[in-house]
Amino acid sequence: MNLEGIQGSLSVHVNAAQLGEPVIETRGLSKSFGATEALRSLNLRVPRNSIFGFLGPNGAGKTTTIKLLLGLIRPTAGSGTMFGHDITRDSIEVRRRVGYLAQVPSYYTHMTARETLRFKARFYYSGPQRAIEERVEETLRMVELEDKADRPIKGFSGGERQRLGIAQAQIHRPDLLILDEPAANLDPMGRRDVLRIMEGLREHSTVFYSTHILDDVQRVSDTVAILNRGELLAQASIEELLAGAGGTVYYMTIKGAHEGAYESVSRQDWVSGVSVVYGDSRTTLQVAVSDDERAEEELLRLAVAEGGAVVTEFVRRRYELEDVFVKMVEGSNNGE
Amino acid sequence: MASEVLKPTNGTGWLSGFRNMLSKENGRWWNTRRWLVQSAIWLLLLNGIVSLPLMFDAEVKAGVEGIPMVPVQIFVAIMGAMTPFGVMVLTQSDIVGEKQSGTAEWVLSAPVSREAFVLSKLVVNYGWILMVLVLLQGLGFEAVLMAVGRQPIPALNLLGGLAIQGLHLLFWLTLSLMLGAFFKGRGPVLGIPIGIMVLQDLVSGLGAIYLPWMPQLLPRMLPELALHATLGQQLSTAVPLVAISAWSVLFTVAAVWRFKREEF
Repeated sequence: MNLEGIQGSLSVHVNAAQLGEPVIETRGLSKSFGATEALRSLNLRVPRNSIFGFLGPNGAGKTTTIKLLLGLIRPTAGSGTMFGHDITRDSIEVRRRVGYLAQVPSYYTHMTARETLRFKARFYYSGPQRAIEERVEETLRMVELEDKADRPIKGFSGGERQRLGIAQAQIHRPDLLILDEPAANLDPMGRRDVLRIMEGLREHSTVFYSTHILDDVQRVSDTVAILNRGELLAQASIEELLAGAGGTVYYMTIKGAHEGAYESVSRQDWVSGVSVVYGDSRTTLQVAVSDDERAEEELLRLAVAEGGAVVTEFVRRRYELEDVFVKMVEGSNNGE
Repeated sequence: MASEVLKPTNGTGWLSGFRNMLSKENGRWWNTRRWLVQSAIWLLLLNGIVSLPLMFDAEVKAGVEGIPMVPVQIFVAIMGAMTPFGVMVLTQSDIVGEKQSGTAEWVLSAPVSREAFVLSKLVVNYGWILMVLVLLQGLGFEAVLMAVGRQPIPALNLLGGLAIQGLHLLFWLTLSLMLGAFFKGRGPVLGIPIGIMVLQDLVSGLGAIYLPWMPQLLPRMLPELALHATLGQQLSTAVPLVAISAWSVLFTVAAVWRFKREEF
């Protein structure tokens, strides 16, 4: 696959003017736990009113970053601001403007959903009581938990707990929502609901969420950052990431001898890489191209021109975020 | 749309979120009926045990007047010996449990100070402990005395004795909260106070030989002083009262100091 060099080209840290005033900005933010460096000199910039996907494999440092931003842990080095407030010094002021959903949300199980939301709301509002109750009711409706509002949380399903999590995170209509793996451990319906709620929130809030479900990211995010082993590999809009990946790949499934087709295609200067996947009776050539127009015109003809090759399937596909992500993370793991 | 405008909270100091935390902690006692269960348990344990000898007391049968010395001694001694264990059990998971379950992380992602988190537990638990384990038991004991026809303890004497018992429990409560802030598991939070409780007699016995003032710094002196106060006798010394107050303040400061450094 032609993803060589992608890491270099996408260490694009998008220019500030393009993004506007950032909601989150970190400078050299680092965190070590003993000898383990969980986060290394993170420079992050999250634009206002974006849905910002924070991607990385397990253990990449996503949750560590989120906890640093919320003042739940202290940085070893570096600094950060949220809404211009220092994340360490002005943590309470920062938290007043942020809603947070933890990766594994925990609530007081003796409370009902309504009591939980009421408890959370009172950190942000001193009254009047009737207005708080109205806000609670409105939020319960938003996440469709009205009928379960007065049941103890301990009986809630995973999806219901996650919806309650989103509700409590945005009970005060925060300027920024931080969601740590909001769709993890949910069935497809639960995931769909969570993504729908997230999309609905973008109008008023910035959403910063960590995930490793790349389909979701491509569906709802506009900007992403990719983290691996505590290091930021890239930060850019999804369009920029995909464009930097080199564009298009063609899949040709060949019955019979494929060597001639392989040789012929590989020689073309607009072909940036060919890989072979062997099947039982067929072989698939994955051809990454730098000139999509020429590929469309010539690729199939080149393959069938070689004697003995019968092309049974010919598919054109754009690179997906997953391809970019996997390549970058693998490249980083291999020290590229 | 809310018909009235919501008033945002403000303030970034240690009081941030304190009122809401107080209300939440209070709910753990009131809404879950914990107060009722604990009241019943301790009335049965303390006054139940004290009532038995009173029923068969020769003085009672003989109609002797005055404060019944032996039942008062039994009541004060049992309260001094048992209620600290009650405090340990009731509060052992207050901070550790929240650290383990993740609720502390959740709460602290809101605009609440860490001081408010710890101090709300201290204030509310202490209030309920005073009511359920101390005051209610004292009133129960008065009721038992009157029920068997004995003279009740004068109110001021009783309150004086209960106040000292209350101070005694403050020591164990603050110790428990401090250990909860320092440790990640329930074992040390429960084990260390039990160890202190068991070993303090030995330590004060040995200490008294070389450091005669040492026993006065330990909580074991307080039930004895509480007995003096209940019987209307002059206190032999006020040093344990000052020492235990100082320990309690020290434990509280240490709990807050450590919890502010906790990472979630």
